Parts: sequence; structure tokens; C-alpha cells
Amino acid sequence: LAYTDGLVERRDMWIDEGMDHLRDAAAGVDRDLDAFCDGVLSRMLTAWPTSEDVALIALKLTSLSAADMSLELPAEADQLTLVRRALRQWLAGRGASQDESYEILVATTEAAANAVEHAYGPLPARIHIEASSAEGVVEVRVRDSGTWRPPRGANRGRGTLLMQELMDGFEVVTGDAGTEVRLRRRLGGGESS
Amino acid sequence: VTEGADVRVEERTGVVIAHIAGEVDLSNADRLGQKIARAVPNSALGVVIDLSETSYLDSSGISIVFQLVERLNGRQQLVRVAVPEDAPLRRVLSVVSMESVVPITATAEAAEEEIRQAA
Repeated sequence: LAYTDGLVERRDMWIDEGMDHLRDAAAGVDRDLDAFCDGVLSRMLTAWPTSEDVALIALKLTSLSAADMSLELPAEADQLTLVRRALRQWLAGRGASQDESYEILVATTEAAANAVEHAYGPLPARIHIEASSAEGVVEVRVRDSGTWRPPRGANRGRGTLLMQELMDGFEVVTGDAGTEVRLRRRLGGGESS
Repeated sequence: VTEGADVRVEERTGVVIAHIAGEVDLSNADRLGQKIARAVPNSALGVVIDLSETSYLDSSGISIVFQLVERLNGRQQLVRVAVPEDAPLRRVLSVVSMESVVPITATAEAAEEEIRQAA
């Protein structure tokens, strides 16, 4: 957590005391970053109002060696490299071979690229990517808040073909909140296509 | 912070060789395709698209290869795609039946040789 002194310094309060209050405020709020910042700011500024400007930056550390992987990114083409980098590292930790890893990266990027191409509307779109593994099967879920459009043109058609053929399971689930592509692949050469 | 890809184009007595290195996806495929297309003179016998150093390629990159093949074949120029035998990319190209429109060779040198003999 980084912040400007306006958050913890008051004329009638030592800075150490302010930082103690901040620690208490930060300990009791939501772990979602937006809610966390709102919570910290409202607690601190309600109890100790100030006329100064206050800026706050919160960072969340994510461990890629954790059992599951979860990413949330803007639905933009230049984010796809980051998706692959994170997933490649995660898959290496699950013991995926080079070929398996490559094929899962292609299928995941196809799903994410689909979300990027269909990201439109008044709000900046986000893509959520979650990966988990159980009993030698990797599942990657790519979720966006848009509506799935049937593939258009040869390019997207090939993307769908790749997801189908490279994975053991390929499913598109459309709900109120958006579209989720679920990709499943058994590791260890037990690929069935 | 995009790692991205780069294309290096060389011409060896009539055969244009485009080496694509790095990761090709939606963010850079069109740019790379245009760069290769612009680098091929009408007089060239043919083009080798060398994917030996391509660490990642998906349907957006595959699409530019198909477009290049169509365009160059229309100008009576030969095209070959070079991919090492053991590259993970081989399976991806096989899924999209790339071999049905363009011969795939193991090395850029072999592809260049094929073009010379066929021309």
C-alpha cells in the first residue's frame, strides 16, 4: 500500500499514530482492491477528516505457484502476451509438457482473442481467466462480459476449430453476466481427439 | 509491455525469405503480414515464410499466412512455409489443414531449394 502523507498526517496527530490507525483500517476491509481502497479511504477520512488531497495505491501480490490461477485484464489485444506468460508459468508448475503447454496457450489465446474482438460498449471491457487442475486435467475458463457471437469469417472459424481439436473439452456457456469459454485438457500424453 | 514479434526479410537471388521471430497474435499479425507483403517484389520467384523462430502463432497469424499464400499464388509466385519437424506449431498447422494450400518444409533452406527447382 502506498499513500500520500495526507492520509496519515494531521496537525493534532503524530504520523506514527496515523500509520497505526491506517494499519487497523486496512486490516478490516475487503480484499477486492477497489473495495479495499474505498474502505481504507472512507474509514480514515471519516475518523480524521482533512482538507488535503489524498492519493492511495494498493497492490495485490498473486502467487503463480498457487494451485489455481486467476487473472483479470482489460479486453485488449496487447494483453494476450501477458496471459500466455502467466499461463505458461502456471502450466510448467503443473508438469505440462512443451507441446501440451503450447496447445493450451493457443486455445486460451483464441478464447481471449474472441473476447477482445467482441469487446464493445460504453464501459471498458475486462477478461477474466481462471485455471485450475485436478487429477491430471487442466481446466481454463475465459470469461468476458460480452455476448458470444458465432465465429465470423475464416479466421475466427479456425480459432474455434483449434479450441475444439487441441483440447479434450471445449464448451461455451452463455449467461446473464456474459460468456464463458471452458477448455479442458488432460496432461501426460493422454490426449484424445 | 508486449514482447511481440519481428520479421526480418532477405532476398537470395529471386527468393524472398521472411523470418518471423517471437510471438504472433491478434496484436501484431496484421502488421507483420503487411510488412511481408510489401517486401515481395513482383519479380520474385517465390517466398519462404520461415516460422523456425516463431515461438507462438495462433489463428490470427495463420490467417496472414493463408492470405499471403492466396495473394502470391495469384501472382504466380510460389510459397513455402518452414517449420521444424518437432515444433509444437506443427500440430496447430495440421489442425487448420495448412498443408492443403501450401507445402510445409522443415527448414528455410529446403524451402528455398524447392522453390528454385519448381520455378
